[in-house]
Amino acid sequence: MKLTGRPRRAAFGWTMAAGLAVMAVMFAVSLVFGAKDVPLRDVWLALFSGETNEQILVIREIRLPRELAAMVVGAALAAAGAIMQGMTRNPLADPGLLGITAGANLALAVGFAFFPALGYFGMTVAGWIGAALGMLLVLGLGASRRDGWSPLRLVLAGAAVTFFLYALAEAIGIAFKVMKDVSMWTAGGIMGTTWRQLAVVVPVVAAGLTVAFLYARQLTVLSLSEEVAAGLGQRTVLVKAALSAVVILLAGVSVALVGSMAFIGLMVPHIARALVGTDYRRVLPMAAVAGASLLLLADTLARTISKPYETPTAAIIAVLGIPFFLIIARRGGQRS
Amino acid sequence: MRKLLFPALLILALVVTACGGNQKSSGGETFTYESETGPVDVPKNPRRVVSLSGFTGNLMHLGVPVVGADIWSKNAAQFAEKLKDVEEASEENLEKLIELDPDLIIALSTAKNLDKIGEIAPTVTYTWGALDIFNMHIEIGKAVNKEKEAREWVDNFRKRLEEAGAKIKAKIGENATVTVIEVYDKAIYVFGDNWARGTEILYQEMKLGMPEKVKENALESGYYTLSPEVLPEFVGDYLIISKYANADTSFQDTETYKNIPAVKNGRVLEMTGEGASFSDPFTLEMQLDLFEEFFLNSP
Amino acid sequence: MIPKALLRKQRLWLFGLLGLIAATAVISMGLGYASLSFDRLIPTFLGQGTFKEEFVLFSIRMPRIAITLLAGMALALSGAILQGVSRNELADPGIIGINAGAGVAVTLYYLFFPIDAGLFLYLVPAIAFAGALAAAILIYLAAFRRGSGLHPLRLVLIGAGSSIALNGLMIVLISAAEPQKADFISKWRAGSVWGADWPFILALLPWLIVLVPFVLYRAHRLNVLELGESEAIGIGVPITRERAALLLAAVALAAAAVSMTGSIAFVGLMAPHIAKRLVGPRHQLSLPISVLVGGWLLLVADTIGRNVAEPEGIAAGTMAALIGAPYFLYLLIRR
Repeated sequence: MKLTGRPRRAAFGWTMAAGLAVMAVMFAVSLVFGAKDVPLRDVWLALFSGETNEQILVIREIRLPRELAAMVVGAALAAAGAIMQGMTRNPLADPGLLGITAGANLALAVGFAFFPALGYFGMTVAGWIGAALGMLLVLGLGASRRDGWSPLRLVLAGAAVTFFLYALAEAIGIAFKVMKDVSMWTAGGIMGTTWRQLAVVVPVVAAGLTVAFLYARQLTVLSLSEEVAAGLGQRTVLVKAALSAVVILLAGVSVALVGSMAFIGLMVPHIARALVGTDYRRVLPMAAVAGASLLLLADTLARTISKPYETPTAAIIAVLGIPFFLIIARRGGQRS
Repeated sequence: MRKLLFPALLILALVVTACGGNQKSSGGETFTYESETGPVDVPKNPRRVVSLSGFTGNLMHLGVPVVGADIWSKNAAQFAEKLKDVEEASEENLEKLIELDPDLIIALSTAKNLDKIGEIAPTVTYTWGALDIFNMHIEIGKAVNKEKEAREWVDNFRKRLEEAGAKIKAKIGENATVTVIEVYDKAIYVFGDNWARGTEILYQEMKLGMPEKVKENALESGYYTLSPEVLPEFVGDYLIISKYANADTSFQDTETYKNIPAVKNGRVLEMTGEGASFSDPFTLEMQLDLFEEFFLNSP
Repeated sequence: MIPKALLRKQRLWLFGLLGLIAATAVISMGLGYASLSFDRLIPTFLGQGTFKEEFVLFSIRMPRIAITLLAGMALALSGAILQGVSRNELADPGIIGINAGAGVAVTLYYLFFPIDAGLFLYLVPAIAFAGALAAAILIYLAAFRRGSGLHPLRLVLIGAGSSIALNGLMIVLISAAEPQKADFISKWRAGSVWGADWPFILALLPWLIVLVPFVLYRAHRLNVLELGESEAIGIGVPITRERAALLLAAVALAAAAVSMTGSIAFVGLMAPHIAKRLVGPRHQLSLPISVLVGGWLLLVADTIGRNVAEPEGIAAGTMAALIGAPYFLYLLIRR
C-alpha cells in the first residue's frame, strides 16, 4: 500500500460519486416520506424555490432541519469513529463505547442539577466538556506503558468508565431530582431540531471534519503502527492530541444535539474501509458520506415504521448494530 | 457442605421469624365500603389520609385531611400552595408510608406493593377512567363518608357547565370546533372527549364541537399522537394547549403552526400541563374559569 | 495438600465474615426512614413490637436484607467462576454482558406480561437465565476461534462490548413500553433491588440451593482450569464438559440474582479478589470466602444506598458501580 503519493483517483472517485449519489437519494427519500408523505414535486419546490404552500412549509420548517441534522450527525459520528479506530488501532472503537456518551450524559446531569438556567448552547458546551472528560478518562486509564492502547485495555477501561459515569449521573439525577430532564435529552433523537440549533452544529462539524482531513495522512500511518509513525518523523503526540480534540468535538456536539446514537461510529468506518481501503484520506470522506446516508435511512424508517408514532432512531441503529458488532468482533477483535 | 450450614441456618431463621407477624388492630369507628376489589373497612371519620396518586384534589375538596400526597399533585400549580406542608408519599417508599401513620390510603389499581400497602392501613383503589369524572368524585365521596357533599358539588357544577356551555355557544356559534392538545417531552397528543385536560367539560358537558379528524382518530382510543407536520389538520376553530414546562415547543416557531387559522386569529389558550390531567373539583373549576375567560374574550 | 495453617486461616475468615454479615444485617435492620431504632429490634423480634415496628422489620427491611445477601453471594460466585475459567481477573458477569443478556430477556418478558407476584414470578429467574445464556453463547461463539480455541482475553473483550450493546438494546425496547413498565426497566438497569419480598426470595432460593453446592464441590477443578490447559486450547479441543458446566452455573447464578435485584456489576469482580487476598488462590478455600464477601458487599452497598436519598435512595447497583468501577480501573492500571 502506498504511503506517499496521491490516492488512485479513478476507483476512489467512482466510489465516492456513488456514495454521494446514495446520500442524495436518501436525503430525498427522507424528505418525501414521513407521518404524511409529501410529493416529490413539493420537495423540489421547497428546496429550490421561494414558493410556499402547506406541504412546502412542512418540509422547510420541520423536515429539512431534521434531515440536515441527521446528515451532519451521521457524518460527524462516523468520522469520529473512523478516527478513533485508526488512532487506537482498534476496530472496535466507537465514541459510545469509550466513555464519550457517558461523559456527556454526566455533564448534562450536572448541568441540569446545578445550572438549570443554562440554555441550549450552555448544555451543548457542557456536553462537550463531559465528552472530553469521559474520553480522557478512558484513554488515560486504558493506556499502558508498553504498547499504548491495546484493544483489550481500552474496551475494558471504556466499559468500566461508562458504568461509573452513568452511575454517577444516576446518583446526581436522583439526589437532585433531574432524572427526567436528562433522560428526555439523551433519548431525544433528532426530533424537533431547529434551524437555530443547526446554525451551531453545522459549522462545528464542518470545522472538525476539515481538521480531520488535514491530518488524514498522519492518521493512516498511525493506524499501522506507532513506531513507524515516530520513525517517519511524525510528532505523534501532537497528532494524537489534535485528532482527539476533533473526536471530542464531533462526538460531543452530536450527543448534545440528538442524544446517544451508539454504533454509527462503530459500523460505518468498517463499511468505508471495505469500500475504499485503509488510506484515511479516502476513508474519512467515505465514512462521512456513508454515515450521513445511514442515519438518514434510519431516521426515515423511524418515522414511518409505526406511523404516527416515532420509533426512536437509536433503536433502529442498535438493532442493526448488534449483529454487525458480533460479526466484526469475531473477525477482528484483536489486532491481526 | 459444612461451610454452608451456618448461612443456611441464618437464612432459615430469618424466614421463620418473618412468618410470625401480627395484624394491625384497628381503632375508631368504621363502616364497610364496597370498593373495586371488594369490601373494605374504612374509618367513618378519616383523619390522616394518604393519596398515592391522582385523587388528591378530590379528597382535599371534600375537606378530608391529607397527610401524604403523590409527587404529581404536589407539582401541580393548582395544589402547590395547599400541599406545601404535606409530605410526599410514594408507593415505593413503604417505610415513609407507615411512618405517616395513615388511617386510610387511596391509590390507583395499578400501584405497586398493594398487598403491603393494604397491611399498613385500609386501602381503597380505583382504576383510572373506569368511571366518568363525576361518578368518580361521588365514589370517592362515598369512601370517605362525604357522599352528600360530593353529590352536591356535582349537581351544582353540572348546572354551571350547562349555563356556561349555552353562553359560550351563543358567542362562538353552534358549530364551532375546539381542539385540545398536550405537549409533553417531544410528543404532541390530541384528545378525544374523556381524557382530562378539560375534555370532558368541553365536549361532554358543554357540548362544544370536535373537528372531524379528531373524532376519527382520538374519540375511540382516547388520545392520538401527532407529528407537528400533521398538526394543522387536527386543529379546529379554537385550540387549547396543555403545555408541560420542559416540553419541546419548537413547533410553535414554525410557519406551519403560525398559519393555522386558529393561531392566526389568536384563538389559542395555553394552560400548564402539570396538573391538567386531574379531574377533581379544584382542577375542573379552574379549567372552567379559564375556558369561560378564553372563549368569551377571544376575537 | 492444603497446609493446616492456611486451612485454619480460612476457617477463621469464614466465621469472621459470618459475624460481619450478621452485624451488618443488624445495623441494616435498624436503618431506614421509619423509626425503628436498635433498642427496639430485639423486642420486635420476640413479637412484642407495635404493628408498625413489626411491619417495618419483617415486611420491609428483612426481606430486602435477605435478598441482597443472596444475590450478592450468587454474583460473587458467578464472578469467581468466570475469572477462573477465563483466566482473567477482570471478569465479572456485569462487565461481560451476562447481566445485560438477562436484562434483555426480562425486558422482553415484561413488555408482554404484568409485573406483580404470582405464578409468573417463579418464571422470571428462568427467563433471565434464558436471556443470559443466549448472550453468553453468542459471546462465546464470537470469541471462539478454530485453531486457537477460546482465548480468554477475546472473551472479555467481546463480552464488554456486548454488554454495552445489549444495554443499548434494552433502552430501545423500553421506549416502546408504557411509562410504568419503562420506569420499571430503568430501575432494573440501575440495580434497584425491586424484588424485596418473601415470595421473591423463595423464587431465588432454589437456584442458590442447587448451584452453590454444585460449584463448591468442583472448586478444586477450577484450580486446574485456571492454571491453563494451553496445549488443549492450542489444538482447538472443544471445551471440556467441566468448563461448560461451570460456565453454565456462572451464567445461571448471575441471571437468577439479577432477575430479582436488577443489574448489579462489580460485586462479582471485587469479591473473588478480596477472597484471594485473604486466603490465597486455591478455590476450595477462596470460593466460600468469595460467597460471603459478595453477600456482605452488596448488603453494605444497598444499606448505604437506600438511606441516602428520598424516596427510595440510590440503587444498590449504582452504589456497587460507584465503589466497584474505580476499583476495577485501579486493577486495570496496575497490570
